[in-house]
Amino acid sequence: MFAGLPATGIGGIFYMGLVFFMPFKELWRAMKGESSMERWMFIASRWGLFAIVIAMMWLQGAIMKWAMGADMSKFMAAGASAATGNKTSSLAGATLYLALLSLVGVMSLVYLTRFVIMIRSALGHR
Amino acid sequence: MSTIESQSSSIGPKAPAQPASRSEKVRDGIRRSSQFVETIAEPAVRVGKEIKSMLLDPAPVKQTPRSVVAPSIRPGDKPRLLGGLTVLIPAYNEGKYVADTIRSVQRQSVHIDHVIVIDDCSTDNTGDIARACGKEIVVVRPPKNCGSKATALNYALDYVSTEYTLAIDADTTLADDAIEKLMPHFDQPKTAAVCGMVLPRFVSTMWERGRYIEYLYAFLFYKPIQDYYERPLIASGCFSAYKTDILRQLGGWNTRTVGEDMDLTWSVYRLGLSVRFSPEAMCYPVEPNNFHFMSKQLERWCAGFAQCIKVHWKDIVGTSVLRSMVATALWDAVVSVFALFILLPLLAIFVHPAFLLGYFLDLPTIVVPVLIYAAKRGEFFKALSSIPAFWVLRFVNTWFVTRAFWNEFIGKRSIKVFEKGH
Repeated sequence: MFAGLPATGIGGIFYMGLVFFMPFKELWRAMKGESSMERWMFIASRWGLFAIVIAMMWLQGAIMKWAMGADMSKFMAAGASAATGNKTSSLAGATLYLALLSLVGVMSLVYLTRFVIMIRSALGHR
Repeated sequence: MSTIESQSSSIGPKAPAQPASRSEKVRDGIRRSSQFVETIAEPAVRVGKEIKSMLLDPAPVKQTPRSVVAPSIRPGDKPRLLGGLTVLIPAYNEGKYVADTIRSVQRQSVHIDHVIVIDDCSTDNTGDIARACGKEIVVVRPPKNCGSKATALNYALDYVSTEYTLAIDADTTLADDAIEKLMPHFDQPKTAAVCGMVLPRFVSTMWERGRYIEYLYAFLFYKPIQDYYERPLIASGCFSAYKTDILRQLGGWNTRTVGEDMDLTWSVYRLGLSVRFSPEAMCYPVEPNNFHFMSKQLERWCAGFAQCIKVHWKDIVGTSVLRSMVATALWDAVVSVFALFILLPLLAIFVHPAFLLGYFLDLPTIVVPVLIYAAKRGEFFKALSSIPAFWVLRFVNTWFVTRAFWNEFIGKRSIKVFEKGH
């Protein structure tokens, strides 16, 4: 989500991916002599932040489960079924499954578009 | 040698036509096949290089850095900026705030060469107030109202003679060290623009509180990650500095969209240059304090985003990391309408009421970073009490994004008129 835009959805997962790749990129920079302790500290802070966020999401799920009691399992099963057609029995799993599926779809579309544009420009089309 | 050969071949006995043309055909066929294979393979090789650059080496800068901020020679003097800096302040009926803005520029810890206020034919006393702030303040007034911030800034760009140009909104004040923190990012020769950290000056109404959380989250959570990959999505128009020659090369601020700052940022990427974000360089704009002004601002922002995608989509697709950021933002913006307004209510009614909790599914991803950053700034309780307002603003954002995309892509009712957001 950016200022003026509404959701975190797959963008949140994408940014987690960017944070996940940071150490690898920094290793590459370090090999070229372009890294610094400050940059590593920044990466560590992002990893720490994401760890806290994931922990808090787990806690949120646990609190929901506790608050809803026996009703929760019924809701989870109904939710998972509605989301994925019984491919998973966990609502959290179903949400993650759908979000990852969307992200892969969007990224594939972006790279397909990129590929088509490159082929068209190679063939002289604009 | 080749001339002799060609002459000898032209004067010598001619070979039988049939076998020669057959071998030529074969050679031609081979040449065409290899050209076709090269044509097909080249994009694949470029994609490979692109993926490698995205994962490993997005924007290495090999040129030698140089310091932009020079220390003061005499004690008591402010440090100077090598190449000089001109501050542009476009203002239309900003009599209420422009003096605060100018004073915050005058208080800067570095020397500012020129301050130009563009009084865009205001009907209030904006120009007089600006002139009263000091002899060093240059007030220019176009012959008629420019109609947009971009045109007003371009009008003043002709007067700029320094290496760097900084644009700030007339309702935005700067922290005393904001420019000093901002400018060192130009040490890297590849940097064409630098933007600062934005937080609302006033946080009292529901709309301001919602925006406060939104800025904390966007500027301190997402933007540093974007900056790490040297791809900030936008150098905010309310406080950004640019290399003047790059600005001129791009024709200044473009008026083809109502999101001139995003347009400029993406144009910079098209040149292969980078934009940086300085989280320590603080600025404080006045945010819309009621729905009327908020709706005008959101209408412009969302239309600007859609128009920039329309204008730049080919360049975006060719820019590593940025393409994925824009695609995911676009997906989230469009899908959120379906999720928030249709899917969740239907599931709550027909499957289970607990689906209403879906509205708070991403609560930790927003609340945790926001509260951590707010605590660092000593504003924990202010942030905590503002979080509900963010959820309201989010619904409003969703509505305006949907409307903007509908108007721009389906309804073909593109917004061309620049309306002030407050």
